[in-house]
Amino acid sequence: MGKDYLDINTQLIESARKGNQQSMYRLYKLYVQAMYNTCIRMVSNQHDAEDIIQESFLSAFNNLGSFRGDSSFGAWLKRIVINKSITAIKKKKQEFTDIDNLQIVEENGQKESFPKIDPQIIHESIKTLPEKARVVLNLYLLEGYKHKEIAEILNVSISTSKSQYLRALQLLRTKLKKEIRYEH
Amino acid sequence: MNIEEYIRKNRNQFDVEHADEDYLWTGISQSLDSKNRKNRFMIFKISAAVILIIALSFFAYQLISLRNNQQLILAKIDPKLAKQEAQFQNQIKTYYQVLQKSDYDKDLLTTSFKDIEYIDTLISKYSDDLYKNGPNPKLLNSLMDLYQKKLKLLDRMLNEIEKNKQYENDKTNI
Repeated sequence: MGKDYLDINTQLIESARKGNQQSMYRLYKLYVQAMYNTCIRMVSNQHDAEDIIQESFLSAFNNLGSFRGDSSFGAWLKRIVINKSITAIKKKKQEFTDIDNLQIVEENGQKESFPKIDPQIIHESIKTLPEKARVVLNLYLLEGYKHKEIAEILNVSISTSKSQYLRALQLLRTKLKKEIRYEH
Repeated sequence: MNIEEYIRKNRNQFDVEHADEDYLWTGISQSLDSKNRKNRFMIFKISAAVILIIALSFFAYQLISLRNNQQLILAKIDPKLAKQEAQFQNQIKTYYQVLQKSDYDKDLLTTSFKDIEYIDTLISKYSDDLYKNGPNPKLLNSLMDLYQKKLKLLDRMLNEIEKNKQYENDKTNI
């Protein structure tokens, strides 16, 4: 990310902070697609994702005063999107129950090498994972959260986060194998 | 390369879905507009309340000034009369203090407080007229007359109380 890009962003944020809707729109255009993809991988539902994206941008624009620039605007906005996605999932009363007692066997498959796969297929396969596993996989693998952070956000133990992640990987690998078989 | 490494390495290629930007923005901008409208209405309400408070305070101040600063009004019109009015008011104040101190049932007096109250309403009315319409020699003279009448009434009351007390004393001495 170049210095010019950061400068433009800073100007847009300052202007949006003063209530300029044109600047808000330009910020929206810059980030909406990335935020939407993050969100839909989390909630796996187009309508929910659209609602969450609208709420997140509104919340960001209404609270621009609290954005101090410690992180990038994109990272700050993504935090909002992820938090709102998790809140939406929790509202559906899906509890992130402990599955410590489940034996997740680290298969040899984890080291298994994969051929080049269309990102679209991986994206769609992630969306079909069970909710709890999908959320943990998204946060850990795609958004770079640590298991400690995930445990705090989801209010579960670190070992639950880890076991959900391993479960998600196993399921994803199985799904992708099937997809590859169909492709060939 | 295993699946984890593959996903991490190609992270930026996974944003494959396209949100309907215009549709989403319509909802966002409508909410922003509605919030702005609400804010504007709130500002209007606060401004209206502030203006109302200022206006009421101004009128209250004017009213209080009218009532309490009788001397100031007269001072503007005629300093001599203002001085005379101040003397009347001081005298009235002293009479009232004596009346308060006299341990006597004022309802038994032939001179009624109602007459004094009536004079007070006239003084207030004449003062208003003076304030609204400016100096008027007739009004000024009437105002001074009223003060004198009020003083006479108070004086009569005090004399009556004095006489009554004297009569009571004489009766006990006999």
